[in-house]
Amino acid sequence: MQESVEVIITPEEEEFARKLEELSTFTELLANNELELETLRNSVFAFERQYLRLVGLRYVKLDEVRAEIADELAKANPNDSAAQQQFESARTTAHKSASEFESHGLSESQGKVNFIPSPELKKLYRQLATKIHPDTTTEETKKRHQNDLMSEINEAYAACDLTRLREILRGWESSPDSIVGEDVAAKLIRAIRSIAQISARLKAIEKEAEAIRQSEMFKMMEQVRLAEKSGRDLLQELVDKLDAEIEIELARLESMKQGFSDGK
Amino acid sequence: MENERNEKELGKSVAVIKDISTSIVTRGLNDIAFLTNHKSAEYFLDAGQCLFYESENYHHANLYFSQAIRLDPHNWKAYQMRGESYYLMGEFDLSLSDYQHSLTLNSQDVESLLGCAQSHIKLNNYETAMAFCMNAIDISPTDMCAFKTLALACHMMGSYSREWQVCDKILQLRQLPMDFFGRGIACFSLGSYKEAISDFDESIRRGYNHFYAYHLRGSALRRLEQRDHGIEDLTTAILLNSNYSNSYAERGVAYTHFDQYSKALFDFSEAVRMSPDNPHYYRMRAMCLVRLNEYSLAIHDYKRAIDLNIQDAKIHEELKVAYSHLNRESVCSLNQIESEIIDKLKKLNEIEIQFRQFVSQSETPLGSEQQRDFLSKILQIGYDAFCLKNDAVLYFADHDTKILREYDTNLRPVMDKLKGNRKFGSISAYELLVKLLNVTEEGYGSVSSMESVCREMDKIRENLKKMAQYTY
Repeated sequence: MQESVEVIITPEEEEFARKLEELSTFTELLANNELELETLRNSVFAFERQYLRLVGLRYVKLDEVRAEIADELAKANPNDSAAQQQFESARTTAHKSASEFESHGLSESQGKVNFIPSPELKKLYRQLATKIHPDTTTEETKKRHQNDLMSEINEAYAACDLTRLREILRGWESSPDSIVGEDVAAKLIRAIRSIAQISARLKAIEKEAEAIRQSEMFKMMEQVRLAEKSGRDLLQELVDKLDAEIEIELARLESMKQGFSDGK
Repeated sequence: MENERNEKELGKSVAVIKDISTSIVTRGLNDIAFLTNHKSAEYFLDAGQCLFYESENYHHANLYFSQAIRLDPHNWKAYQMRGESYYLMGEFDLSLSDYQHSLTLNSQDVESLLGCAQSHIKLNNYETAMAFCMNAIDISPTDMCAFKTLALACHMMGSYSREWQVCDKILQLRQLPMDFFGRGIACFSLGSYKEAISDFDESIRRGYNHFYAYHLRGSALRRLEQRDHGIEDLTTAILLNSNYSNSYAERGVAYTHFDQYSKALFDFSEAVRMSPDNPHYYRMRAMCLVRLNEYSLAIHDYKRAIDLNIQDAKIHEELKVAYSHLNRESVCSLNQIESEIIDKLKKLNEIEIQFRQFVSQSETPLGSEQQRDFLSKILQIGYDAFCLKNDAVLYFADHDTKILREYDTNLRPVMDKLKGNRKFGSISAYELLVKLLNVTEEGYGSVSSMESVCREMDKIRENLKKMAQYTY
């Protein structure tokens, strides 16, 4: 005969069960929002690189040619203070554009043309964030360890590296960190603290995402995406416009040099 | 209203062109904003028009129009504007092609029709130009530019009565000073100088202060033999525009009628300087130079006129006359020089006799042996000078200038030595020697001029031979 055992549930255990549920919802939300933020950040970053490589470079070139034209004019009119001033300002602009372009370090890094994460990648990220997010733990050592892991996850996500993410997940599940065995009261306190931590992080995520959405680059990306829907490639149009302007300015510079040498 | 809108848009384009914002991201955003509000072709068309009208940089504007056409090959305005820029750059074939293309996209565009007409005028297709003008007038019956272009086409074609009709029609529509001037030109071309003068009077009275109005009125007055008034008007024309050669030429002709050849010569020279390829100006100056007895220069100008392919048989006759004048003059001057030499030689002879007498009368006229040698040297040169007449004759015979050259090299150092040695013997001996040498030198000078005259004569003979070849 089987012996029936009466299970006595203490108030702590009851409270803990409730908090655990709440924590699970919060953790899921956190993973989701982290994923969204990371996706947003990576998309804008990838767009920025694309913009700089296609358009930024052309602005730099255009400014260079314009500075050269201003230089020619200034040389031809050494007593014209307006021409000298114009040359100074054109040169400053050219330097500024060039250093702005260089500051992105585009020439050194390859950068991806576009950031398009697959649904599987997103799912895996969400899974990982739920388990590993540093804000789900309150222990300092664990937090540090999970923080490092999270950075790794973000990097792998930015690189769309599915294999790396899977490895991290496997490693986590087989680690002793995943096993928690303590008394209920301690667990309850930890759950409450975790919830508080997560809600703070959620606010921070929202703030960061808002900052990205307010940036010029995001606005430009939105416009380009919107135009794409109506079949317009605004970046390509910009490229065409700038190419034509560069060509025109170069022709102008050439005829100027020709004119001056004929004049001599 | 329309203008205001244009100006606003042009201003915007300028801002776009000059926009060099701080960051390349902000600039991208601004450019995208522009591109989403406009078609890209419009951007280049606007920017090109801004360069065209504001900076008058047609070459640069042309590049913008080309880009607008590349982006939107159906933009007739871009073709029309590029046509205009080509026209102003002097590329009339290209301007015509663009205007025609613009018309295939918008057949009612009067500006392109007139652009075609103007390009055809530049390409000497006057009848086609007139057809385009008529087409433009059909579309826009009061378009003054169309009438003006039509009048120009008629004028270029030499159809002056038609030109007059068009100009008269313009005057029926409006009476601007320049419209009277336009009809005046037609009258002038028809040879109706009185009517032309009355139209020019009216246009000048109404404030048309253009040099060409004065030029044509002056020219008309000259043709009506009111030359003093003509000169007055032509002078005003020159004051208003000193770079128009024809005003000088016209005034030059007026001066010749008053026998003021020096003034005429100045005017013709100015005309030649400004238009060195106009054969008529050379001929006019040559005629003037003949009157001033400058035959060599006149011949030079006649030849230049003939080289520039003047279509007139009479000019050869005129050249021949100039040659005969020059020939006669040369013979005269040759005879004159010859008699001068004979005079000089006579004088030399006299001095020589005096000198010999002086030497024989005086016991010790000269100091040292050296001085005596020196004297005999000079004496020898005196003898040589005496032989000059013979030398000159020899020169005529075989063109041998060697003797003359040798003589010169001998004479010079002795002369210099004598001039530097004033202690030579007695004063009277010195004076005699100086006299002797001066006369010798003069004699040599005469022979030299004789030589150049002879050379001139040779040239004339040669030219006459050439003349004979193509005149007969």
